[in-house]
Amino acid sequence: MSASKMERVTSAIGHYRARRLTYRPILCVIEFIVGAVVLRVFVSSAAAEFMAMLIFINALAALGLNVIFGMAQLISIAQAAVMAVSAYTMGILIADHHVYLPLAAVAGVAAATIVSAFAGLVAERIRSHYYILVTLSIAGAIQLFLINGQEITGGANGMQVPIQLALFGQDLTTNDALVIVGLAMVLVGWYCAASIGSSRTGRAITLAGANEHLALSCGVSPRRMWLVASIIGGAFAGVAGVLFTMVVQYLGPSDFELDQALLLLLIVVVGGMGSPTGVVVAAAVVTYLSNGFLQLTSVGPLVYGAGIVLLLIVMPTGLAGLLRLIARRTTTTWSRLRPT
Amino acid sequence: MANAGSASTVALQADNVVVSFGGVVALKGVTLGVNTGEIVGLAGSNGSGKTTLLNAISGFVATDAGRMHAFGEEITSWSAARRASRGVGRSFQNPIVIPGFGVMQLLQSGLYASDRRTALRLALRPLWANKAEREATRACEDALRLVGLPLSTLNSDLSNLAHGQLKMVDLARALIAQPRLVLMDEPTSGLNDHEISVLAKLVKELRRDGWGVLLVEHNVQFLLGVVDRVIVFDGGAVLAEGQPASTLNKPEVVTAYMGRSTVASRHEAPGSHGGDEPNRSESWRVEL
Repeated sequence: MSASKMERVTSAIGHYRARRLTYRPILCVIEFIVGAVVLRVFVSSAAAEFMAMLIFINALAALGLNVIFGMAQLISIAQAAVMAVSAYTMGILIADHHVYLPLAAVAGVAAATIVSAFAGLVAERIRSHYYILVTLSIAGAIQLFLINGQEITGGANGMQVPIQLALFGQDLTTNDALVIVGLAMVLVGWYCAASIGSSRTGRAITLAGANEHLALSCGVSPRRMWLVASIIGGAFAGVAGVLFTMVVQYLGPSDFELDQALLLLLIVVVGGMGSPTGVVVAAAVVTYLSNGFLQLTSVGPLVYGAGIVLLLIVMPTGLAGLLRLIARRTTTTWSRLRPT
Repeated sequence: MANAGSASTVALQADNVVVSFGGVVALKGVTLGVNTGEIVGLAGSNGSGKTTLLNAISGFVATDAGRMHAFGEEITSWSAARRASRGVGRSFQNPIVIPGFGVMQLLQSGLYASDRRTALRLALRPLWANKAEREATRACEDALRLVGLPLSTLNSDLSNLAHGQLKMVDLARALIAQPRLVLMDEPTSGLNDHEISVLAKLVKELRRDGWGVLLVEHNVQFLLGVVDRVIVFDGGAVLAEGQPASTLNKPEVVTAYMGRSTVASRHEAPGSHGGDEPNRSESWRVEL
């Protein structure tokens, strides 16, 4: 009796999972429309628009870090530096060589991916815990180059990047337009991240992060998966760097320091380690909290820190755990209501 | 390499496998074969090299010498991952528990080698993704049914399962990839009688379907009732090989299994430790 009830619940969850995959693109479009309307109606001041774009930038970078840290369980503190590689590559190509923006953006993403892949290649040769040291040294090296490579990067003063982009006669560089572009980029990023998450590669990365022996016995090479995770994470950071350049139009080394990398790690933890949806929501929450509190008062950091600790005590599995719980409750209730 | 050519082909052929850890030689040149549709049991006291052989075959432990072939292909130089994806599956003696990992997630990971759900396909073909997801769910349900677990287990977290259930889930994880050769490390340890009978039935089904099964086992009843051929290890080498009943009753096997001194000290009246009483097998299994 109780067993057959459980069977019904099981199959309901199976159907639910399958249907969610089919509806993902539709969901994406709906989210875009709703998001665009919300941004147009409620986000009108320049400060609010900037906050929204900051959230989008962090969300994209955190979606990539989610693959490295949330799924492959490798702690990377180079994610902000990888973002810088992309942003500076794009900025230098545009400012100094007058390259067409989309081409410069592609070059930026490629450069970021290569740098992150290098971290993955090193990780392939060492044990996973040393990844944090590898990424720390990569971040340090990039930071040093940004500050001391005066002629190329503009040094500590940074560099101005003139952005020009139009689509169908519509100027895309105004704040109003950029917010919509950012929203679209985050949603496409979320869709890609979600697809990767439920693909064989995504499952393999998660398995490699969870247990090497289990991965091997499933035919998964953990070391190769660490490399793949680094490449995917680097590509996302690259896209985040592109959006950063387009939004801020000024590149300085201080925007890509360690605290930015730690903020991204925090977003992944709050998001629930491995869930793209959780990470995007967490990016909004954590970015808003960190900026709102840090800039307003001198006790801001204290409130922010205490708030994050409280959040993690109340939701140890992050926002994704909460979402999963709600989903499970709804499906169970639904299958109980369904006639046999 | 081996070209039997008859109805039963060679699933696994290991020749002169040597494994050493530092100065300790764990396997001293072991040669054995497993045919398709055959269940081979490895017996022997703890530390005799049974699990090391399993690890060597699945690629978890590097061999110092010797060659291994699976289904006619030389696998000696293959990585563990490659062996697993090419039909050499294995289960673990102590199932690996990952906190936060669900049974469904674990079983889906087991599908890796044959999984066609690439990120690109999932992203660009949502309708196909739906179908593929359903198929994967069904494969997981079938695997659970195979090992006799209720389908509700699919929603459980690994950390919420009992030891016996975990072992069965681990076995399902190994079987869902449809390996043609399965290595099982002490599959009955920690299982209750019902689970052991399910396992016995399952292993016989695998044999009927033409899979090769190599299992390390201490449970003599299980060896006698299920296994086609038993290979007894002692000190990293093969001591005896043959039909389970006759092999396990050989005097040298019984001595190696129980150890001369231990038997005398543990049993009050060690009158018959010559080993001509197969009925006592249950009682000395407990001692091991």
